[in-house]
Amino acid sequence: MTATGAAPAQAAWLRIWRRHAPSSLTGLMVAIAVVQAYVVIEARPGDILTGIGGIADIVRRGVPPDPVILGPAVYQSLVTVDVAIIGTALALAFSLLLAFWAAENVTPGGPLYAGSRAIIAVFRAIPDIVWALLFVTAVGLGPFAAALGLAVHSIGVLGRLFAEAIEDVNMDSINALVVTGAGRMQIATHAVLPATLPTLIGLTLYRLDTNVRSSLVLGFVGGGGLGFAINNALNLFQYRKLLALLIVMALLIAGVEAVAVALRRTIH
Amino acid sequence: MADPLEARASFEASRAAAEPLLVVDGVTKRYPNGTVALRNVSMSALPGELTVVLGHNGSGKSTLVRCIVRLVDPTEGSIRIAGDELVTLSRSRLRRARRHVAVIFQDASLVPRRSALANVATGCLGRARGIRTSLGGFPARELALARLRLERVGLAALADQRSDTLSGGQAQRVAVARALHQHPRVLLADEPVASLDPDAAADIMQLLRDLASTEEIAVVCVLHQLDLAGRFAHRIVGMRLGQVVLDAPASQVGMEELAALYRTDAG
Repeated sequence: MTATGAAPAQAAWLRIWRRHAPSSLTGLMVAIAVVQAYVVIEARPGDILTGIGGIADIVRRGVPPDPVILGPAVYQSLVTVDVAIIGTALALAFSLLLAFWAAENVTPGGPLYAGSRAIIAVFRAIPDIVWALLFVTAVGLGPFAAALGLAVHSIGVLGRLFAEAIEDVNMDSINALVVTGAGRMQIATHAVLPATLPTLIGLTLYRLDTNVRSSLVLGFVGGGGLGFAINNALNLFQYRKLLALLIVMALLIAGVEAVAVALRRTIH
Repeated sequence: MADPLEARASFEASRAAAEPLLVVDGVTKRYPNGTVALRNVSMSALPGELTVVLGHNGSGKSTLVRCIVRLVDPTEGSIRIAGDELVTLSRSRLRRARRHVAVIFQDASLVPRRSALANVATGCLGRARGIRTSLGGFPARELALARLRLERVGLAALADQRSDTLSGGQAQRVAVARALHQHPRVLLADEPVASLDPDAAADIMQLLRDLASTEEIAVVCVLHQLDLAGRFAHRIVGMRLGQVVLDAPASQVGMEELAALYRTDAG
């Protein structure tokens, strides 16, 4: 009697365990990950409260922002944007070629497929700031090294995204051209590009937007432009100048984003 | 009333006299996982003739179409288009040979965002090689000819309309015009009316039948609609489990025989 009663109860527990075990284990793993990260980064929330006065002090010293820097800041903004433009343009050209080799549905296969996949993976895995520092050794400090760093990393990012967009093209519309006897280049320009163009342009604009922000960061490590000016103002305790530059930076980022969104809307 | 066996014999005699444009001989397709999609399939198609291929989903009809143009490579057998063997051709020679075979896919498979005219003009890509076509353009002469093809399928007024704004029937007509612009000897259509309403489906089938006779090409059309097969086909090929189980002039095949192809218990 006891044995027959215990068996259903055991089965019920087993059912509950099977139903809830995956989500419970996932929750536990996420909790462990967050707690260990909190410990490892030496998080001290109390320091925010005690130190917030320091941030307020910098802002107070920055008011009113220095209007004299506006002239140079416009040029520095241009440098920042231009680094992003060159970085994105170079990336667009190379990543498009790599994407055609790396997309499973149109690749010529063999070493071109494996090689392009490997290049995309390596270029994407190494951050733009590391690429920029590597290029500093070749071309020296300045916007050119920053543009090259952005370009190489963006080739990896765009190459992968472009390849995925190409793989999403309806194979029958490609096959319809294959059976006409069309060559690989003709298939690319007559079927793949027209079908993917809005996606490719949208991704490129998004990357340009991201690259403008990255260009600001690269300025901090010698890439020139607005980031470089902000770093200088911070190091020289020129807080009025710093606040003015931060306002220009916010306007620049908002402007670039607005233009990118408007262009993306036009394409569709 | 003529004796059916006699009529069949006379039809076969007239077929034997004509030179087939498409000959499929003993084609087998075996996939690496062991699945056999086609088993020793043989059939032929004559100029001026509309051949309809019928059979269950998975009976091998679409694989046969893809094997004929070598989108899928057959494991064994021979495929000849206007006398040229396709199975043993190298990639570059295959590209040239493919110009003689046009394919219409189930959903028209037009390039979205391009005009109807540009889609039709892509039919010339196999013969119009050069910088202009490599960069996405077309020679003016080809565009003029493509416009005539659109006129032929009754869509001249929609030449500049984007292909992704066309109705299903219009898109399929554009696909037919593109296939015609290729100047094919053989036209393959893989379920071209699957997503069309009955009127549009009948229009497309009538168009394919007319093209077969006026252009003197062999049209092979995969279908599921028995009524359309009965109305428009010159010849009917029935497939089951990757094998040809029926190959006869349409006039000699009754609806009962066609329906049997779709009976699950039919052996």
